[in-house]
Amino acid sequence: MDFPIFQADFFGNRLLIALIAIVHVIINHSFAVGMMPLLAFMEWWAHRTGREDWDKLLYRILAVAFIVTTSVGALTGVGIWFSTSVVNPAAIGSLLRVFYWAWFTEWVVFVCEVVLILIYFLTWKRLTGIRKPAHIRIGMALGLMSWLTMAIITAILGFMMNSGAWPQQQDLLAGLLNPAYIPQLLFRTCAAMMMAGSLALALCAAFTKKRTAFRREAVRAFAGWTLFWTLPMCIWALVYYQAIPAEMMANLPVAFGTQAWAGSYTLLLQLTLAVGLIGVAFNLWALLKPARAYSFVWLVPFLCVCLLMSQFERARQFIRKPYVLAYYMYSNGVRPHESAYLVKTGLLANSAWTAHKGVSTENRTQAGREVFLIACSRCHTLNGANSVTVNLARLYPGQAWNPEVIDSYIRNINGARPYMPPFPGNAAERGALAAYLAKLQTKSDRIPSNASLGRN
Amino acid sequence: MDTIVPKDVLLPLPAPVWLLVALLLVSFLFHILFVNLMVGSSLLVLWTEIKGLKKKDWDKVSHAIASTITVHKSLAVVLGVAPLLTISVLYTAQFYSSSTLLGTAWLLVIPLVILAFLFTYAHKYSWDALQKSKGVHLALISVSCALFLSIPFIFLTNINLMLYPEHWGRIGSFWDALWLPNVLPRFFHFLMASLALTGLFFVYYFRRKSSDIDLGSLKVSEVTRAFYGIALAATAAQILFGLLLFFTLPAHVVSIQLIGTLTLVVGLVGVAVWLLWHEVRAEEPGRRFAAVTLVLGMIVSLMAWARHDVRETAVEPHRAMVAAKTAEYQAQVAAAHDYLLMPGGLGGVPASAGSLVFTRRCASCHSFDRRLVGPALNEALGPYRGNPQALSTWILKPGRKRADYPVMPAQEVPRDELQQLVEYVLQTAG
Repeated sequence: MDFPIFQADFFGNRLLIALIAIVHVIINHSFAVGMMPLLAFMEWWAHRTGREDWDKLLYRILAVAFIVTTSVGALTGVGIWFSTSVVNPAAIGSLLRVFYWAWFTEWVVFVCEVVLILIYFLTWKRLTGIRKPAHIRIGMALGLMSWLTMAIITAILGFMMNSGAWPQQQDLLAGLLNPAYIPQLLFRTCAAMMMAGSLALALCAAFTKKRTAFRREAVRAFAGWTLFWTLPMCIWALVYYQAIPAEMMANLPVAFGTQAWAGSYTLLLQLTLAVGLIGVAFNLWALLKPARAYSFVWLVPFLCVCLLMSQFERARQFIRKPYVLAYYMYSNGVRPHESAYLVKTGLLANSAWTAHKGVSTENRTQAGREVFLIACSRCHTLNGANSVTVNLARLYPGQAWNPEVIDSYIRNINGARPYMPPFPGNAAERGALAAYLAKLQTKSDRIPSNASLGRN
Repeated sequence: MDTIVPKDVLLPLPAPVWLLVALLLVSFLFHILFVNLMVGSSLLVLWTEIKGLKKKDWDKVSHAIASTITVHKSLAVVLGVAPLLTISVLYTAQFYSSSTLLGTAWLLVIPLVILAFLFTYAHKYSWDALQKSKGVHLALISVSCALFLSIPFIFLTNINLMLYPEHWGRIGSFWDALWLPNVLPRFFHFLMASLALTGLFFVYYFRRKSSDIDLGSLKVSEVTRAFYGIALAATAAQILFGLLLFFTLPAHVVSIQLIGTLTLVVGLVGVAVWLLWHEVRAEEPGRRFAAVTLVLGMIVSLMAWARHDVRETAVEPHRAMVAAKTAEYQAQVAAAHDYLLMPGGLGGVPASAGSLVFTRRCASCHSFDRRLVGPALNEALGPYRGNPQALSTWILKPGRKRADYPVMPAQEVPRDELQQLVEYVLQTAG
């Protein structure tokens, strides 16, 4: 209502954020949060046992982690802010006001983390001999900082799904420390360790020669590390699963696939489980027969764990619907608190960036389009990802789209689809939206990326 | 068209305004310092590496500069987070409006910076490997320089557009906003500041006592003089670009205190140029290094204050309009919400429990007398007359009955609601 409309009408706004966020999570967990403790631990072990070959291998893995985290990793983190502020400024603007000091603290930790990784990487070859223990301590401090940034952000993520008593009492701490927080944090910690182990396995295969004793030893060590964390990860995942509010669990079938896949939830679950089992099987193979494989085989566990993590993040993002901030704001930026007023006075009249301030017989379709932009376009496109035209065709197969029928569907849309927010405008606006949508069957429209003020 | 006045985010600021302003100014100062060093160093690497084609020893200087960029660029990014966070909170209505208006261009910052960083790493870590193919190696750093030179345009366009809500209505694309007066002068101003600060930094870097950089036959004084020369030229050019910047400011943002601050800056720039001039001509340059650093530091701080001054003067009227509109809206929303909570607030005839459940859960797709998404209930309920149990079972676990209709999704209805619902629909169906 209050900000210009940015629309990625082919890709979909949600997919845009999801893609950036998932790349960030994968890099953050596998290259930083899990990797730094793993490297510091192995560095300590290699120093104690005087293993030069291990020290060299660890340095090469760190070099990769350093380059990836300080470029793609850091920038995709900032990218989440950029993309959310462009897609849903009202939501991220609200979240920033609630969590300013949490994020500010996280920033201080983040600065420490970057300074430490610069020191850790750039002094690896200089702090040797009797100064090696100091270098190992830097690595441990770095691991701690990486984990702390995740611990703070996870609290904010938990709040977005279950804000506890915050909407009524503005009790921030209760929201932050909601029942799902600790299980989610521990689940992520174990998952990060597994991801780092799998990544190190893939990298060590690239950095060591086939059929050498050292390759066997390295492959075995990293697979062992991953398997070590697998059981605790499963346990915390289950505890976390139990802590998800019931109404969100109902969204899982759609969250796991898409609307079209909702009926095949069990199949998708089995597929997900299969991916996990393949990962475990390859790790067992690495542990028992470490010599018998081409190098690229050791990439498989990392791919599996990345797939699982992406699926988890997707589902986690989806099940909080219809809210973007639990119980405080719907996905389209409208707050339940203001619904009564908007239903009375209209969405268009209360929006700053619309060309039409109300619905008349002359502007009906154009006003309907603006209602679509405000109320629907944060999640739906016209012809791309999660497109309204495909959804309408699924609802009314083989029929002409009737504005009145669509209107009555939208009137109770939150009842028919529990993950949808209620329509936020007045009856005339609902009619205009229905008229606009019905027209799309015969006359296609396209929405430019900057669609405010009636721009075509 | 009229100035667009949005409502603010409807939550209080997380801290007093003065504290947020202080955090913004200080954190931004650190951020921009490292951005300057990052951009300036990339340009100086390119320049010295080209010099190195003729005189081999400059290649060593270039390599030494290149190895520092890793630190500068990492800190530039991480230190940018705090000002981004704070400006988003302090100027939400303005900053998010301009960011959203730029949309794709604003998002492009992310991939462009990633690319710039990866090219910089590729250049740094291929120094020895590409010793024989200098053309390719120079191409790598040229690409990062080109990226580092284009990304500031996006930032400056956004940070400039947020100041002028009166223009928002006409901005259809990034290019419209780029050509607003003041963006280009700000870019050149930024570029010169980067070169001046980086020049000064490398004077320090190559003169350090602990410096173990191998410069071949080059003397430290020779290298120092070159970097002082860059700092001098860039600082002198600031007089020109500073004036251009000042005269392209819209009249309404120029206040008496801004003129005061800028006069002081001009005086200090004069002092800096004088000091640098003597350093460049000195036999053993470096004696006035501390003085130059102090003066440039003062200039940078005063400019940060001047920026803030311009931003506040430009945004103030709009902020007042936003605040008034937000307060009025909040009052009306609260009134409407309270009305809703009063008994009978929704109006209309009191409905039966069953019909309420029907409206909430079924009415989107079913009507009694016509096809909506699902079939008309008058017809579809035929087989269930006198068999409410079968209907309950169907609602909880429906399947496909009609080929030309979509499948009904399973409904999670609590048992008591389900009973009321089934009773109501079977009674109502004709």
